[in-house]
Amino acid sequence: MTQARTTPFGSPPADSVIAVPVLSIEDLVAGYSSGPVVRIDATHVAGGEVLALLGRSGSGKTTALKVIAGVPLTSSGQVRIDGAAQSPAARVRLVARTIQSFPLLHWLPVSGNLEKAARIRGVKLNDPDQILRLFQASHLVDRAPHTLSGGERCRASLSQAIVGSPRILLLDEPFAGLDSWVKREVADSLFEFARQSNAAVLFVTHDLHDAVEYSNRSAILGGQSPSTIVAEVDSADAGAIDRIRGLLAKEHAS
Amino acid sequence: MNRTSRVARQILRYSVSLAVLVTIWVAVSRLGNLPQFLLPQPSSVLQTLLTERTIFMHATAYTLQNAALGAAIGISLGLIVGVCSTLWRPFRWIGEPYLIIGQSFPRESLLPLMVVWMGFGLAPKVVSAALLCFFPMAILTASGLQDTRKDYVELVRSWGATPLQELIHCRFPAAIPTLVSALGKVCFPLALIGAVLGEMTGGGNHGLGYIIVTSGAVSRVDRIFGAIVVLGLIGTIMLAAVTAIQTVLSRFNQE
Repeated sequence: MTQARTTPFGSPPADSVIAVPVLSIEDLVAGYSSGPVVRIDATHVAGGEVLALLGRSGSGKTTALKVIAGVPLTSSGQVRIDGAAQSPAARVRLVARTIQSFPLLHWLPVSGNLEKAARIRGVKLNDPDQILRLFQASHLVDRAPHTLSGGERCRASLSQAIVGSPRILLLDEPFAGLDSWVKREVADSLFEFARQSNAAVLFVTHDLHDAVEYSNRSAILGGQSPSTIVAEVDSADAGAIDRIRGLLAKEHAS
Repeated sequence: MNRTSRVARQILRYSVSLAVLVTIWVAVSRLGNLPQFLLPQPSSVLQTLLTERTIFMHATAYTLQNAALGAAIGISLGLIVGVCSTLWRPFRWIGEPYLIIGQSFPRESLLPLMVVWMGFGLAPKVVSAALLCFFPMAILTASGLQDTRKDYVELVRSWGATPLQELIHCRFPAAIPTLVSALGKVCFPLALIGAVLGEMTGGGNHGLGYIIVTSGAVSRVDRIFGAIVVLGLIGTIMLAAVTAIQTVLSRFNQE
């Protein structure tokens, strides 16, 4: 299993754990007017690190991503970015989040979507191609969204998300419906992005194989409402898959 | 190539419909042996249109001008109200009942009131055109701007868009097909109807509606038919223009 998750860029450097984590979550409780959905007591993600978030449907995975990204929800607790506590409004600027359906504004080409993202984020975008290249998507620059395949849409969507060099990249089921070799390429691009920009990446998945293969670490959400992180598993550990499978099975049973 | 042939086929189709209608018209008036003052021949209607072309041209210009002015007012106000109710919740809360009642209410019944308030001039005709197209425009704008795909809105919000940016960069462009069809297929025809109705109920002595009302009184059925033919022609041209615009737009608007 250790070989399976080795990427061209390797594991994050050992000292990144000692340095100030890019993302620190402390006593974060988030939910809706109907009540809290998810509670995260303490989780840290280092720069260049990829954390997978697993859990059964309705365990608050998407809600967790939303609140970290600064979507106004009913929430308490703290989210620190590079050591400094940030308000939800400030987090919108520092955090990028992809949405499950990989939406792109259909009346604009891929480059237009990137430019629109830059304009609204208030950053300069000199060359959309530079970002697209990171996801092997330069050839998509002038394409209309409706002409993109699933894998191409995923790449374009990730490119759009990282406009403005976010410190944290949150991905909601980025690999759903992709072929395994496309997953591999996209995942490698993610590691490359995280390494190059020293950003923290968090991705939600339903697939424990994906979690172990494409992340450094997996966090399992579970327990009674509000759900919490019941365990974190290092993807490099021997038997990581079996451990995660066991934990998920226990969550399903409860 | 493909597109021109499609346009040609549509023109052919409408021409055939027209030919069928004229044939039935001729057949009914000939076979039924109907007198000219009940159902004139198409040829005599055409003759009337030609010999009285100055009258008809002036009347058409007057009606179109009122319809255009009314449409401009009604559509602008409709857009403003639709945008405000999208941006501002209290506005929607208070305004929506008025729109819904106004939409289902026979607004034509207000026209005599307009004459009382505004006299026999231009104003009641323009107001009548505006009144007819304002409500559907406001309602269609509001629903067009509020029915934006949830994930699109989520996307621009993830970029940190303010409500105004969200409207300008996401909701409005997404609603353009809805707005074009609201304008072309609902508001412009209603404005034309409003202008003609205004002329028919509002006194004054101009316009196609005026020709229709006064010709009936003096049994000049050929002139009524003349006005109807002109109105039908305007409607058809409007529809063709809107369809052309929609065809062009649809190429940029595939989801």
